[in-house]
Amino acid sequence: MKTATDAERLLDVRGLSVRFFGDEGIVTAVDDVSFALSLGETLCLLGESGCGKTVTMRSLMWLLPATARITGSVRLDGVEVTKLQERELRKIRGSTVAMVFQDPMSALDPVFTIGQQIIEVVVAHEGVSRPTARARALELLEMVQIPSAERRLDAFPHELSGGLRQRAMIALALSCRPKLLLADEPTTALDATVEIQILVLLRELQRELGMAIILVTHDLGVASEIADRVAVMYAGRLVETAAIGELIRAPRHPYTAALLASTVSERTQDSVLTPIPGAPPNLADIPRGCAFAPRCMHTFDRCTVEAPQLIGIGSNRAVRCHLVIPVAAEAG
Amino acid sequence: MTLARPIVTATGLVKHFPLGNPFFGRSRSYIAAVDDCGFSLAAGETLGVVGESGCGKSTIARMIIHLVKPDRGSIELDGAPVGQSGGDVRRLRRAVQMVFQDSYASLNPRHTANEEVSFGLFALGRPRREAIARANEALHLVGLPPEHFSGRYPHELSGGQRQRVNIARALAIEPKVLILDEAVSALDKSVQAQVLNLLVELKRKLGLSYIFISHDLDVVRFVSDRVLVMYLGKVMEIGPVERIYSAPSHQYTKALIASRLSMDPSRRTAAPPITGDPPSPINPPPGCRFAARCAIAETLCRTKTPELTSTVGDPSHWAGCYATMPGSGHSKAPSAQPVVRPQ
Amino acid sequence: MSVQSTVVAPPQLAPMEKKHRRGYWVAVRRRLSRDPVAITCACILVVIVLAAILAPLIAPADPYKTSVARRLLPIGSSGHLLGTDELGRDMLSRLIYGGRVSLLMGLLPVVVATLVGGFLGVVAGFSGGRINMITMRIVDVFFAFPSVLLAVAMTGAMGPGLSNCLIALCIVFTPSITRIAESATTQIRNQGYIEAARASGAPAMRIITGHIVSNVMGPILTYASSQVSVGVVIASGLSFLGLGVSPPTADWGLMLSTLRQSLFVAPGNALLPGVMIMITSVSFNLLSDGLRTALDVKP
Repeated sequence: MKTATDAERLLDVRGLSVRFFGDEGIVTAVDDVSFALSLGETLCLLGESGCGKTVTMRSLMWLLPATARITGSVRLDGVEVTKLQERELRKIRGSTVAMVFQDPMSALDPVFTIGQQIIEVVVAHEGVSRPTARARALELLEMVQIPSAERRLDAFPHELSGGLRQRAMIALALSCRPKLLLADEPTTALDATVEIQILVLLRELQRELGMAIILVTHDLGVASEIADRVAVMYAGRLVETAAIGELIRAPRHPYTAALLASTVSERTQDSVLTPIPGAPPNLADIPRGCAFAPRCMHTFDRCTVEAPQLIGIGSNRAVRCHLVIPVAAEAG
Repeated sequence: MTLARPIVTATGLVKHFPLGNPFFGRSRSYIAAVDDCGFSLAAGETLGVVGESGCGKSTIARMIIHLVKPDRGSIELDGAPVGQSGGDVRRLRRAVQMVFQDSYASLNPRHTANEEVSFGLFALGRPRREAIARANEALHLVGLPPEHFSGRYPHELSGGQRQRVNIARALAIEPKVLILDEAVSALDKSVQAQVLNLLVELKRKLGLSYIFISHDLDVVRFVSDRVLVMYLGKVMEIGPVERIYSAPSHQYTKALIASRLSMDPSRRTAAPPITGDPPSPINPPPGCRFAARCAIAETLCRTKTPELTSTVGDPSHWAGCYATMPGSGHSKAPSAQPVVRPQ
Repeated sequence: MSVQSTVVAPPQLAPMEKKHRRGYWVAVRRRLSRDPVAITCACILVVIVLAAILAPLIAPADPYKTSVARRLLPIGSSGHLLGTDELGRDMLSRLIYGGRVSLLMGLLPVVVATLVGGFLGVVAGFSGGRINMITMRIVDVFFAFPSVLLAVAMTGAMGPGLSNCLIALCIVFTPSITRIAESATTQIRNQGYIEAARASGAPAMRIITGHIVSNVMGPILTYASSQVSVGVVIASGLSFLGLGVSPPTADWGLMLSTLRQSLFVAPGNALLPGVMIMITSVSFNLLSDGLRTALDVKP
């Protein structure tokens, strides 16, 4: 895999940490996360509930509640996002970076038609006339393969089925040709036959428009269908990053391996699933040492004492585990 | 596969939900949630029910346990019809229990785990001490040691633990059949595996039969002996699990199986097997429900609803598709042979 | 890799100790105990209620003993801490004894209304359908009348007197509590755990007592406690209008009425019963506010 130079990298996240200050104390939702992304690449943030993947993604646009404090660096298209004011942030939201949410019903305004919502975004960011914006909206609906697009421009969100609503939301997100598309579990709420349609659509759109995609999911199948690279998160930390093929073929982190082993895929009654015992930790109360140690089957003394560092192995691969010794790179 | 007498038999179940206010004039529109569905569940078997949203699988589950009254059709428990009278329903609910999808909403936030599990027993008239002891036994059975968990409230439990409490509650009544309505769908994958293992073990230990409803094809394959495929309120196909997954007969089943996400990044799904969304179940047109999205639908399919007929090759595998029905008149149908009709 | 036991117990934790039980009512009590306003009001009310109960023991003088010579003595006079009324009776004693009647007229109707209205509302909410509709439309009819007018009209029709007053007030308060109970029950009725309880075969009454009551008690109690202050005021109003108890019974509202003529002669004395009504009413109100906040605990 070609390593992109700094100049080509669209997104460069270094040491990102997000802490929430509340009555209960300080919760470190994201702890020292670093990754990079180029145009045309798809990265999946993979993990279970509470691992920090959604918070990580939202912090790229600074879509977080007021109680959040971000430290670290997020460079998007050459600009340091963490240093921007609200006004400048609003300019990049929607135009440079756009987001697709899990539940289209809550992300789309129910009192405006699809067309009106797209037009509003286009006019706000690009200042074109309404007829021009409407033509662009029609073009977008056709691009996301909504049948009878002309008619659907004047439809309200509740008049569309789940799959069409999700397509409309993607159209809305793409209305200003963003360079980075963020998708938060975009297919979790969809039926199987619609889910594969949306994933194939996202792949095609990326091929056509060349944008980068970051997709948050808990489903290895989704990552397998769409990702180039995967960053596995656990308890707010990155535990493994790798190309999708390598991750599935030869996972290096015990959590990744355990996730694969416990995934019900192509299994019948005769096989026994090996689940991961216990449950993900409470983020307010992460144990000392490695966060995964209480559930890991390969722990030794060092694991409960010292938190492991993220170590690069091979090209574009990293693992955070004491079992991995930082020797000269193998091919993964 | 066991050839025991069926423990639950459902025949011709129909449920239409009227739209519009029933007070003022008769409503014309209705949602055909379930239309003429039937199946049987053998003792010790797991019947998986798959389908997309709006297919009626949850409604069927609720009809079996009589939370929703069927408009037409009958349900038999151990050969005796149920649902005709109040005593009937009580007998039904002692033998058939249900575990719901939302583990948090299914638990009273003001009740501890033991209180919630023992509630059903109290309601059936068991004395207090016995109910509490039985509840503790049930908690132990699902892997929640009572000394640590009886006194916990739902907000003090994780998703997987809550679902275990739900299972314990269902088991405390000592049912013969457990209906699991998307019981693991809301759980994290690693926790899902825990609960699935638990369910498989409990079935073996306690000799239960399961009706396992899910939209997740992989999970259904893991737990089921037989699978029933539903679409827009009708049964499309029913048969042994391996036949359904390796040699599906109905076009819809084929599309559903092919829609599963590929776990191999080098062999990604190139094109989605079917396009479009499942249509609305309101006032469905005549004929096969899948005709609108089927690649090989013909006029025949759009005029007359196909009946479930057994497929060539396996008498326990039924499908409702003219293209596989010998002598049906569909261009792709095999030539006529003596047709075995479902009882 | 060894095969894990399939029935996996979650990580071991210390057994739950009684004092760390984090039940809902425990949390409510804790929040209430941290609310200074609620505590103050509770203390004030406790004092007033205790005084009313222990009236024969603590009242300094006979509340019915008149004295023409010692009429309208100002507050702070020797032997009469709060002065005397227009018939020379000791104000403090009359206020203490008056508390009995006023508190009775404020609390009892609300308690009865809570029991009756709560029951009706929960049953209507749980049954749904026609029973619900009939019950709630009857309730609506009562709602059409402003509560004070309704109370006045009923006591006027039945005749003055303590028992008629109480009956009228019970009828006045029941509809609104029914409505609260019905709406709270309807909200809960469709929750997952109620469906699960029905699926487990529990009969309706059991579900109501076991599940519904504990969950709707919160909103009902909050509302009912706020109605007590209204009850005290309306009861005093009825007595003021002569529709409640009759003289010489000590009652704050009645005292306000009889002292009205002396308002410009001895304003302090004349205002005292009103002050008592206000303190009691406001305390109940603030306490009910505190209760509502405390009950809003999100576990």
